[in-house]
Amino acid sequence: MNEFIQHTINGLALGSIYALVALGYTMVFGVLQLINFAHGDIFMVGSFIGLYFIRFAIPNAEPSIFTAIMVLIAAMVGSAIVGVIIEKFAYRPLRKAPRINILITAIGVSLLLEYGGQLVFGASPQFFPDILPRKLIDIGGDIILDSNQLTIFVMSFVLMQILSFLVFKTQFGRSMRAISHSLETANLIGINVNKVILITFIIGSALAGAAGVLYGVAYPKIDPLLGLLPGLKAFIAAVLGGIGNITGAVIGAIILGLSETYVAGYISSTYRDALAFVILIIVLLVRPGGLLGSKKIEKV
Amino acid sequence: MIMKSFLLSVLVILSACQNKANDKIVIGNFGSLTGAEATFGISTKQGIELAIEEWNKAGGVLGKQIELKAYDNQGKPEEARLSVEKLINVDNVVAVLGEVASTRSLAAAPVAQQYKVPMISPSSTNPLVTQKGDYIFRVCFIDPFQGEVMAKFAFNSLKLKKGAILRDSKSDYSMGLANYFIKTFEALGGTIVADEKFVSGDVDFKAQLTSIKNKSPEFIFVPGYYTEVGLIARQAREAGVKVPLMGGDGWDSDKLTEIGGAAVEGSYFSNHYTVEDPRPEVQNFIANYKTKFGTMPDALAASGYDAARVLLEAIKRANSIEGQKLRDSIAATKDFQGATGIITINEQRDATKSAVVLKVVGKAFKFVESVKP
Amino acid sequence: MGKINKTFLLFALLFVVAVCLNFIMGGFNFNLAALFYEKPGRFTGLISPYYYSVLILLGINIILSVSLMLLNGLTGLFTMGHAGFMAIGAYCSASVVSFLLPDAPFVVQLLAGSLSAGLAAGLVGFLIGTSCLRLAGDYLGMVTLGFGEIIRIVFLNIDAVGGARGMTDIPVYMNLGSVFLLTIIIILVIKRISNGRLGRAMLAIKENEMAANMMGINPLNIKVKAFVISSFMAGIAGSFFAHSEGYISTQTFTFAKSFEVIAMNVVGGLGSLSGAIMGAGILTVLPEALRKVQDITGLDIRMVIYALTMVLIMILRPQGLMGNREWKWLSSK
Repeated sequence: MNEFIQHTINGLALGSIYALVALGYTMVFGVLQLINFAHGDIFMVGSFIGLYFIRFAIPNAEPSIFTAIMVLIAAMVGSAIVGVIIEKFAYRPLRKAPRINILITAIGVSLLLEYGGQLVFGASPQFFPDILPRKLIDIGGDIILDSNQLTIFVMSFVLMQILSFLVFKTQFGRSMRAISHSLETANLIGINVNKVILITFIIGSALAGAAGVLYGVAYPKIDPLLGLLPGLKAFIAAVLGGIGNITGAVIGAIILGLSETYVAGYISSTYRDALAFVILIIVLLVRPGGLLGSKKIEKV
Repeated sequence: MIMKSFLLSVLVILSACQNKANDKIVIGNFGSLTGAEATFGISTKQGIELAIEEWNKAGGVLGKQIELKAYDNQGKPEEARLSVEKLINVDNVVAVLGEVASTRSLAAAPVAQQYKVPMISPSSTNPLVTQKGDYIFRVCFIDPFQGEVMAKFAFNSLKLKKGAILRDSKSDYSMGLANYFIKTFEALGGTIVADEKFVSGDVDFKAQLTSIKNKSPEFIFVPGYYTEVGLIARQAREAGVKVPLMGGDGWDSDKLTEIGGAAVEGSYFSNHYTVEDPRPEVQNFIANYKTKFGTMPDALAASGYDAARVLLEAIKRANSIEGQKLRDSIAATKDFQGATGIITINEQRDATKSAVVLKVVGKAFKFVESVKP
Repeated sequence: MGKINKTFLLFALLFVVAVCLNFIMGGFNFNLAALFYEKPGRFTGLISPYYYSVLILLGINIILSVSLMLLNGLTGLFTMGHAGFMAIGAYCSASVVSFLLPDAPFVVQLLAGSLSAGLAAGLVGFLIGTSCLRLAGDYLGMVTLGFGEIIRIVFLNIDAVGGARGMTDIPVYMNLGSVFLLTIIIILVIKRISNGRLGRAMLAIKENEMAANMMGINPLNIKVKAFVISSFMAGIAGSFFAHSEGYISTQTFTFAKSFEVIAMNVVGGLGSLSGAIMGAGILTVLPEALRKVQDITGLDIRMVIYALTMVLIMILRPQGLMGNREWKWLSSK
């Protein structure tokens, strides 16, 4: 029983990491219907910006909530800028092109950030210093709860709430949803499509930046390819929950994290990576459109 | 405008790419300089560069300067094979140094064998690699030897009887090392209570570690690279696993203690050499590497350095760069004073050298014992 | 985008073209040199073995690219798991030939290898195709990506085919001539399919599935057929790959390989057979040609340029280099 609780805690923590990445993924998809493969790499850039910020701006900072917030803001601003550049130079010229072109561009941008990252940051992994005061809490029966896990778990839900509010309760969110419905119509009724999409990218990238820093907090080893696997898993999580659906992304991510942990813990760790895909396939075959997704079937 | 810029770029490239007649001795290196395993390929290349620079400063070999041609393969076997084809057929290298990963060495070795160009692998540990032909050599341990060293160390020296394994199912090195470790450890009378796997690139090992913890082993053997081991150690301690971790030469890097912090304290791993070794080869290597690249060398850099030096030494002894003579000369390497130990190439074209077992103490790796082959 | 920007982009693109040209010329330079002096133990022939190997890889990539074109470009089914089919073909053919027919004559090996590879991949393609029929768009892409990765992970954990170490000592019987010939045959087969009844039905489904259905085309039937043919050919490509490399490991068949094949299609022009061939040509030669840039700069910017080129082509020519057009010898008229 204790082992089960421990696995559950670990699975929830892993799931909330996926959730942080999945939120940005799902938001950009929701508006642009674009699988932004570069999202995982913006996430990577975010954690490196965080790292360099700590190294050069606040080299002697003690781990505290204040430090963490500073690093978070720096990473969010930095990643947002990267996101804007990508949107302006890579995605915007392709607004009217078939979606598969934008997809290939996204893959190209993703490769560019990965290989560029290896040139700029170096290929070897780097240590991400502690920025949050950390505590391991033994909650009885040899079950250990890490305060960082708790922070990330809470953060993912807070961000989900903020995003939901933004999308469903604000004027900007209304424009976003209009564009997601039909870009042309939105344009016709006077929505500044480019501006809304740009802001969507800013928010999505800032989210990725925040996720990057929190990732560094949870797994203090970062390298230029770190976005690849979480990016893919987060994307699966987003599809699982119904891509474009904010709550769905978080639920999908938590399901993915939990099942990966249970399978690795109880059955076999050999096929852990295959599991994510198996779940994805089963869910999509039974319920195309994801758990919370609409039934609308789209074409590339 | 279009025409102009086109012609211009053609000119620029043509002028830059002219194949110069070479009065230098060209050595080839292929490795994963980009992609997921870039850090290993780059370390190896830096080790090779250092060796060549030292030799060039001392006047080169056979009266000529030495030039290194290094090609990237992105960690893909088919590109490894292509780049060796290119090194041999286009760049006319006298010998090829490479690959870290046995998979890529296995893909490329038949090419080197076909054209009878000697190939020395710095750190491919799978026994199969040098069986690809009589032109294929290596300067590192093979998996069976290292696995045995650690199994005997755990059983005899530390008197531990119950072990757990956490290995990388994507890495041939990790799988092989674990297999030989288990074989020896069980033959000695020990038991393996858990055998868990991860995939290189993973960052979350808590599920595996929680299962391992509940089997209460006396140690965990983690054959893998420093890139993962630091995190594994951290998460093991956080999960409440207090037993020592053990590993192989893939652990040897500054990054291990940088990422692992206090969590790797008290762990053991086998390695080629120890920084405490007073031999000038070791001390010079470490000092020069630090000056040139600003970091401590890892095991891969040391192996690359030695592979290059074994080769250059062999060229000097053979007094020729002709394939057959060079091959014989490399095969005759005996008691070579390398940074990674005293290397003798045996009949299987593998290096025989002793291994050392090191213990992580603070930021340093302390010598525990030395094991002869 | 301003005028200056475009000129700059054009310049960058032409730079890449020039690098490729230089690469091709480099091959001839070397050959000329080889005619005049000889080095012991090295190849002295008309084509340097290195270029020979690149050309073989090119042939295999062309097969992959045109087979994906059938699914992706013609039928409009977006799939991201082509590397998986290739892996099945490679492992199946390698096992059949090296375990069952290690000493058989070349023709028997070639037939048994390619056919078993094609059939195995085709069978898996059939299973995946039938189970994914309800899905469309990105969801289909995701599921096929998932299948591709699952296939790779399964092979990674089978010890009989080498596991993480990879499979060694596969009989090498493919050479440039046979790859070249078979590639041409496959291109012609695809041309026939795409210009024939089946191809038109596929196109109809891509343009408007409901209308196609009203015309009496059974979309499910056609889609499954597209899946089977495409995966059959990808399997054959895998078989050729295994028997020209002599060594396979799962490191080759990652989803990056699938993306690469999609990129070949899109760069060349989605839906154009000539484009698929051209895209395969560019994306195979470019990384090798860029090694020279690496030589000059001493930095590993090869892949950075590769990625940039991909993005630039997409921005400058969103319809791909060939668009919808075909070369004369491949056009339907």
